[in-house]
Amino acid sequence: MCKNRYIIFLLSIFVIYTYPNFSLGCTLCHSERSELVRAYVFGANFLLNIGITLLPFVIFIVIIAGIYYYWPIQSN
Amino acid sequence: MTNIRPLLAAGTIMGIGMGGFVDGILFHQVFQLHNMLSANLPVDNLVNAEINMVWDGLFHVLTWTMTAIGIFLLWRVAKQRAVPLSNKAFGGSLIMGWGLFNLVEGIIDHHIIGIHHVVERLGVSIYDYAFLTSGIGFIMIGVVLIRLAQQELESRIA
Repeated sequence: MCKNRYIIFLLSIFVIYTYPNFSLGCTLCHSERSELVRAYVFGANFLLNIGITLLPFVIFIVIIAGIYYYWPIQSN
Repeated sequence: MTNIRPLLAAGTIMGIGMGGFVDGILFHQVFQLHNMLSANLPVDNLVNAEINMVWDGLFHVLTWTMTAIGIFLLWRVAKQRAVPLSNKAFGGSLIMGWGLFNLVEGIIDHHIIGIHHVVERLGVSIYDYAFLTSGIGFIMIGVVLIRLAQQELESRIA
């Protein structure tokens, strides 16, 4: 328990210390080009693109559930 | 009783995830044949390349998640004595998962929605059909291996 707290404390320090550096080092965040990228990514098609990207994976989960519950087992 | 289903589910979902990584790493990144939205947003300038990169990243998040779920399920299987740890069944389910990825992703993304194609500059091409065919082939190989494993387990019990 004590060890876990120590690890969480160290991780928190790491995140607090490095977060501003990540955001400053981000080439996507502070340029004219990045504005265009963000405008498209979070624009009108955002939810549509999320749905398109997710769709095959939703079907995969359904197939896995089918295998888990209904794959024919030969023995009785 | 040989309940092989949990092992098959674990292997198949890991196969789906790893098949996704083959697509994402080889086709999207190493060979740069297509990207996630490359049919709608051709990668002919840096802005479109970066937008595609974001959606490729989300795709990789999902394939990583599939693989992680597979590892979790496999760990659970390893702790259940009732589930036989058959190499053939696990290998078959991995291959079947890869085939499912190629078939489902190919049908939806390449043909129905058409957000990208295997070789983007060609549009719908023979490579898209080869991708689907590979999916069907992998599924068949996987099912055969799983059936063989089930028969072996049957004969061991009998």
